[in-house]
Amino acid sequence: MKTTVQYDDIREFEFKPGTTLSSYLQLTRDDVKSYFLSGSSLVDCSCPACLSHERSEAFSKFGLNYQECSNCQTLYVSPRPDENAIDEYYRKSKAREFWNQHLLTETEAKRREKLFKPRVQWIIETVEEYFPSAQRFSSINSVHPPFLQELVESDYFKKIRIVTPRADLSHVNCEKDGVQVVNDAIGAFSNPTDAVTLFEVIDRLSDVNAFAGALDKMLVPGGLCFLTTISISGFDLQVLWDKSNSIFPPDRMNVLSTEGLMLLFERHGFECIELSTPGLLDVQIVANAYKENASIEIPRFVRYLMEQRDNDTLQTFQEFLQMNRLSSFARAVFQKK
Amino acid sequence: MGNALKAGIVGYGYMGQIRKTVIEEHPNLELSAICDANLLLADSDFGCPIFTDYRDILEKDVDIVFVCTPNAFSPEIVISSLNQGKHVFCEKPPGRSIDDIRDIIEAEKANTPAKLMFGFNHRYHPCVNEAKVLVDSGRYGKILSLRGVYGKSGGLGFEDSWRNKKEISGGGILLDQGIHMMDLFRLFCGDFQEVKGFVTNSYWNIDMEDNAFAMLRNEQGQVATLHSSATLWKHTFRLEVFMEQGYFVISGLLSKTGSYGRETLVVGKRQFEDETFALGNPREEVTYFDRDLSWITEVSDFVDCIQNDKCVTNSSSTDALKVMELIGRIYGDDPKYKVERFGGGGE
Repeated sequence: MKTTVQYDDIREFEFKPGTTLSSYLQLTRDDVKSYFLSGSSLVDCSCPACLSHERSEAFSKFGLNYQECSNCQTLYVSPRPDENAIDEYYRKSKAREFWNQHLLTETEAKRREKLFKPRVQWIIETVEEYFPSAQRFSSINSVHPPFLQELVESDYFKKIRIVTPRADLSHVNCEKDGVQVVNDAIGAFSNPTDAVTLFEVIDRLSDVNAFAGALDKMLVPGGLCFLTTISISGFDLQVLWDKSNSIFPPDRMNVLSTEGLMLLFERHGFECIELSTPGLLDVQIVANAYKENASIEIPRFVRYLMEQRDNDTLQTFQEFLQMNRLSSFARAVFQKK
Repeated sequence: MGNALKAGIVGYGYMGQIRKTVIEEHPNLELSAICDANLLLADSDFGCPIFTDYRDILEKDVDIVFVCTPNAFSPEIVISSLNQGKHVFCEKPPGRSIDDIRDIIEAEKANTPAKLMFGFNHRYHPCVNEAKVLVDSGRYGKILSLRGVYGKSGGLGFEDSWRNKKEISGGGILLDQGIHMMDLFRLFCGDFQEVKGFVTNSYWNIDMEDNAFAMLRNEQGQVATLHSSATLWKHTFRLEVFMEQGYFVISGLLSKTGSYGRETLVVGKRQFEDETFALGNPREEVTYFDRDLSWITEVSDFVDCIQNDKCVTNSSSTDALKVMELIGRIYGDDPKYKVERFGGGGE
């Protein structure tokens, strides 16, 4: 197994402009109320990562309760809406519409250059090393037009598919790029696949365990699963906890620890090739949160760090977090045995 | 275990013990016998017959012989095993001299289809694998140069090791450890035609070199420099690969003790088209590796060659010969330190 550390210059607001993000969070709060809290039935669940029932109440966000798993420290919503309710939300909610029309559009150029180009490179290099005969690629449950364009332009895979039951595909011109769209859940998709991407997908699933089982059936032996997610093992999430703007339902119903992530995939017969937390923003996020609200409760050491030390120290601290898998942005590669 | 190949180990020192673990973990191998002249333990301690004479193993129903003995004994055991039709996996170096490997190759040719592979396991380390994939992708252009440092900390008892007895090892730190770096130079750049070398004994009271410095150049103009040393006072492994569009730094090595440090690959991309805008600190990506699969992967490669009748193309006898020729030329290039017994010097 390996872990990767990256050095780059990225600012938090390049991807999530402050005012736009506030509007999105407000819309999400309203939509959660109308989609999940009025009439819809919520179901209790065990830890999505390790299946343990041992837990403690963490906090409540937008009316839904987060639990902390006592076994692997994964943070998750329980009780929670079922898969159909979540699909409905992602197809129709105002928050999602706003995300596609504003947040994605306003930051598309930056995302393409700084997120998706390197991600395509990451996928190709890993495939070349671990499964060089891979030709059939599927992007699961998520549609990022700049990513797909980069992938198509790389001309690496012979077959590219999007498999999703829930996303609004109106803003993607798949035909032009030769990308096949399968408007279904992966459990219903029977064609074998060599490599899949799950970009921020497990974060918002109702039944993570069933999804991982379906993924296992979909991938051929030796097939690769590329995954990005936020992780509760990360610095900014641990420090800010319920005050974090990154933890909210339903986008982040499952915030797995790195240990939980390993347990989930190993349980389903995958081997971990890479588990990295190459996040660049943890320290910045905490610093910005502290700047905006100096009365926010953060540990004394962190406060001292923010107030007394310069950017070089903060940069070094961020690198330390990456090296030790303690940043909140995680990426992983799992290979089906 | 129906189709498992029966494996015997000759030499049960540090490497023999590593090979035993690999054989026991490998699904297509079955440990059938161990031989060591000094082994005092009983069969029951190992779950297989124990011998003190390697010839006894060759009489047994063994498919592969793992030769893990000191350099002075390896050639005879390899040649005898090949002559008995056994497949042979031999630790590096392939003997004490170029003549040793030439004799081995003759036996290999005379005993087709017996397969022969040498233990250049550094080729299989995850950081080397990953760097090789990046080089082969062509995205970083051509290799311009290589710089390698491989060294030991020395320490108590260093002078007493068989590795530092000329009649047993045939060479010092260059033949013992530098050979791995030379092998990696060849892995990345192919053969080198020009060789310059300095070989010194600067500190240890041994009758061989404790430091070797070499510069190699091939027909493509690629230059590789090596410092192989027993006086770095810290276990060190570092290989830098400079390319047209960036650079890779391989450092640290996963090992049993972890003493070479965390195995790491740094990838830097050239970030300028015009020298005026060159950055002193370009964007880098660092990958840390946690698991050393080199031992099992190289043996799996060998087993695959045997079971599917494939040519050994990685760590082959040709690789062993070429690297021994380079080492011979480094020794031979330093008139103050010409190792007569090594043969094939640089005159």
